[in-house]
Amino acid sequence: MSVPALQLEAVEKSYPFFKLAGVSLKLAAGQIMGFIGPNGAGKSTTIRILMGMAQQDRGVVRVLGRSMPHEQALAKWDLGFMSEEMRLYGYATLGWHLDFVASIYPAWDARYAATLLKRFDLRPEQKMKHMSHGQHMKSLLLLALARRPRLLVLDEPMTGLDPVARHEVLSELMSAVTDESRSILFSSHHTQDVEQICDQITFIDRGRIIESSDKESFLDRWRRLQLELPSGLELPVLPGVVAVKSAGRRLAAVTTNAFTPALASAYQEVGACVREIQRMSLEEIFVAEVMSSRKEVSA
Amino acid sequence: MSRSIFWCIVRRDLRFGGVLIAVGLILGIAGFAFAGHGKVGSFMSMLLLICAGLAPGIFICSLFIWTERKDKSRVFALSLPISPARYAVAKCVAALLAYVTPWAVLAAVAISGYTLLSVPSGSAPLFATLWLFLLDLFCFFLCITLVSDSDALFTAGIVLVNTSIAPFLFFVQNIPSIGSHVTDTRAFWSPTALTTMGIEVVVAVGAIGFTAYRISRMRDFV
Repeated sequence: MSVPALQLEAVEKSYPFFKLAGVSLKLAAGQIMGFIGPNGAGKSTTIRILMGMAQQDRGVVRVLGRSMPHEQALAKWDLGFMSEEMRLYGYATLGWHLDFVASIYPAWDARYAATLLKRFDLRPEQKMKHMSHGQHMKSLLLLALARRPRLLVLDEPMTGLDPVARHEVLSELMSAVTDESRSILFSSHHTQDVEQICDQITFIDRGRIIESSDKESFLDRWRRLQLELPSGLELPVLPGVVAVKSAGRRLAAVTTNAFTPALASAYQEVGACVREIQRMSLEEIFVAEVMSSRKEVSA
Repeated sequence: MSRSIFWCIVRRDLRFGGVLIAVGLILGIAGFAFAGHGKVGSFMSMLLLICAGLAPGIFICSLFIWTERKDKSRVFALSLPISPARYAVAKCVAALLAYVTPWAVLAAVAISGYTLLSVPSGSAPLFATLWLFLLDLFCFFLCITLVSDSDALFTAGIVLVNTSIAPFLFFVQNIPSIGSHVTDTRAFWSPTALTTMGIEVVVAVGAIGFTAYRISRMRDFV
């Protein structure tokens, strides 16, 4: 069995106003995981721990089979990292950065780097401090991809990008994922980006993993049922229903994370009329999941 | 391989800090050139030498370490195959090399001037204690910059480093065995002067040792 690209077991990390509480996560080799959470959910903290930049208080972290943070120098040889908060040296040119990173990584692919330079319309002679945010992000992606890493960790790579730059970065990531041996952890709070390239989805909120599964399973399990209710009917609490929202006196929207045709039949049996069964987008699932998890925690 | 990255980072800093090394040397050489040209010349000499020993140190810490932390380019550096602790040591080594190289060259120039050019050397103990004090200030400021993330402490460090020269000179010049021999033709290395210099060396080594100790115990780097 191949070594997981990354594995976290019961990882805890406390800050004065935030706690990462028992985070467990596993990304198999060759898979692409979308790591979704609202702002301040713990995505970046988790990624900092994964990258060895912060040390967990408790728990086990392994990246490409290496124990973190102690073996991080070894793990990082096969790791490409790009973060929204990462910046290159402002007073150096992109060309200098390319030479610098190429001198470190033996697997540096100069031809691929040249292709990406052209595709992203970047100029090696330009100083980083004169580049726009989009150009900066594309430069970071180029530097991460041309290392040909086995694991790519992307922390909010799309934040602040205009639609064109967003498209360019996403297209390049889509082609990068065609390499089936490469694993990617893609953190974002924009579900549309994640939905396009990921096959695994993990939701995190308030420092806790609330759900982790493959994307298709999420999309299959979650449904919204539009019901019409006879007057006076009170809906029974059925398993798998995470939210019931009334719309007027006779309409209700029921959200479930465990849809089966039997659920619709159960509502019909109590007298409700199922007018529509809607598939939910990842964004809707994400919001419903977070709200339901918060309700559970506060209950 | 991690060792080669260590030196890659040191070389990178020295390359970008080359201007600071050059400025330190130019200021120091200009300071020596003014020496022995009357009271104004001596004043200018002292001023330029203090600048040569002080300003590059502050800029080195600011440019190599503080700016990198503020503009988040440290996150990029830490994505490279090196541990944060080793990276911090590389930054410390680069800063020390960038500061100590011109510092040592200027000290060597001063020693050569006193010995080869038959320049009156009565001021040598004062110069030596001042020069070592500037090294202490650099090590102290380097320690603050590497160990703490606090902007307030960084600013306080700059203020402290800049304002401590005058009290130090006042204090040393009022030590009879150092201050009263400044105009002598030959240096008088009194036990007090040698003890002061010894303490200054211990302080510099202590500051760097403490920095290395703190770095080895740091858990979070971003």
